[in-house]
Amino acid sequence: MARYGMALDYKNCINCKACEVACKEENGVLLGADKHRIWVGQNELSGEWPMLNMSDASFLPSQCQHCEEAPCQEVCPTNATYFADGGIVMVDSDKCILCSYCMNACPYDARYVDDRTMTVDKCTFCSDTRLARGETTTACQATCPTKVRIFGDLDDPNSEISKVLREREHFSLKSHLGTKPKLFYLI
Amino acid sequence: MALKDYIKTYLPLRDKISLKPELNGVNLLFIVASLILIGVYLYGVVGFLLHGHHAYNVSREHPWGFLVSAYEFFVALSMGTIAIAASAVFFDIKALKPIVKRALIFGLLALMAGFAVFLFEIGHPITMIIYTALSGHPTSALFWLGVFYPLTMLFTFLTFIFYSAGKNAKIFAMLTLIFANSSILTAGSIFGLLNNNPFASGVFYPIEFLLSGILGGIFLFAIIAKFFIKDDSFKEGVLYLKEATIVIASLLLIMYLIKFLTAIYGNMPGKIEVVETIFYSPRFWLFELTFGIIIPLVVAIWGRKDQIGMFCMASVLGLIGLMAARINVVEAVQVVPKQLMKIREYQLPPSITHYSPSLVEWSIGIGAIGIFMALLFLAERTLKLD
Repeated sequence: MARYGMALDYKNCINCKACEVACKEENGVLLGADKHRIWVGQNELSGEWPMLNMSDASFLPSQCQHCEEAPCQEVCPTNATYFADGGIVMVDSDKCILCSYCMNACPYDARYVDDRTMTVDKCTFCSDTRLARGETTTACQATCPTKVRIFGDLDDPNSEISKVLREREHFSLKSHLGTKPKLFYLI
Repeated sequence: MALKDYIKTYLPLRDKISLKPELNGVNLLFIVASLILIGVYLYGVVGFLLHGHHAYNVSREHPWGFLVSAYEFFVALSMGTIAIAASAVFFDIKALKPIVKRALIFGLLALMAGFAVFLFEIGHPITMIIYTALSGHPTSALFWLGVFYPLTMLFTFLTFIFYSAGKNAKIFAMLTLIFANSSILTAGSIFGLLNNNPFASGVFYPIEFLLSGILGGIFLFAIIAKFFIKDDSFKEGVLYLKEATIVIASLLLIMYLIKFLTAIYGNMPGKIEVVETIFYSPRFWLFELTFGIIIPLVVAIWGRKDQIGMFCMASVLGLIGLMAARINVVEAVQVVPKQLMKIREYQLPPSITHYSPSLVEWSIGIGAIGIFMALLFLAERTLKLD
């Protein structure tokens, strides 16, 4: 069985926010719900002219980390949050009771309330939209002009993501919490 | 057999059931206060029905609001009261027995008031009942609350019935004690198991909930004793309550001291901001600490030993303090926004999340006291609790 993950060559990110737009379009995220499903974090230049610290300026695209030990899944009282095929963390909106426990348990702030269904929602790696249609990329990956994102099967040694993770150093966010996130930032 | 007689074979109903109380000053004040608070509650409910969760000031950064605090307050108060009453039955503590029956019922009713808040805090309560049963998740603390509450309610009720009938209720009292304590510990664990939260994660909150819940139970016992025991039969019980207050309040003070000292000493991000926010707040110093712990402790130590009057007043302040403590714990787990702790994300993140309850939230949370009072009135008028 596949085990999906995503590698992010984040230093290539130009903060054009095309990924956020594509994600909203594909997954029907409401207008105004910025930085909800995916987002681009940014550090501005520090220091004062002319002594600017250029190394501080960076962009860090992020979203749900689809943790293998997902705290949001552990705290969900009704199993509304579950692991779907491929290890993708999904939410069954029929079972969600909007207790918001998952929102407080997620270390990555990746969950939000969908105002239409009044249930908690999150990134699904487009598994119920694009992947369900037989496509092999997520919306954010397909639209990215600088090819920041590589989505694929971590258990397939021949997949692009497996190759790049073998070849390049990478790190994960808050890995000390033991969540085993499946978003990898390439150095 | 008439329905009343049939129920009477199981429940200690009054011989003459009448909802008309004697109109003295205390009763009148109680009824007027109840009606006002129920009106306040209904205002909140209408606000919720019109606007749903949008009537609340909760946000993505602060998804738990005042209703969670109010719910936790009633639940801890309920479980603490039930735990003390069950202890009196199981350990045969004669000094507390004059108010055991009333305390068991009052504890159950406090839980009902908690549910009256939770009903509007949770987004989909019917879905919760269905799917907690059909696909409950044993790794979730919330799931276990759904298991422990019904068991506590069942065994509390059985203890009440058997004890009222003069039968041996010890086995039910023991099970009540076990499940009531499990419920409080689990309620605290909702916060203690947030591993991503440096301030909340750990054993502090489960233990704090247990101790402060039992302290709340002592306060409710003292208030019951003041208003319902007219003779000297509870004099020894007052001594028990005061001694227990001294032990539990002292333990809580030590726990607070260590919790805050270690946070300040370590200066650890995610902890120090919470301590600084809470330390600067009068809600902590005046209400949680002074009202909730220090005044009851001082009265318990230096007040006249077997007199309940002053201790009852301290208990009312203590309950206000416990409500403040619940507001503080809910704020403490959310006051530091998680995006601040993400690595290099977001430009100029807010250092502190701001939240103040909306009028609808205040109405439901505070108005639930009216539900509690109305249920007490009904219980007093229908059941033999003396």
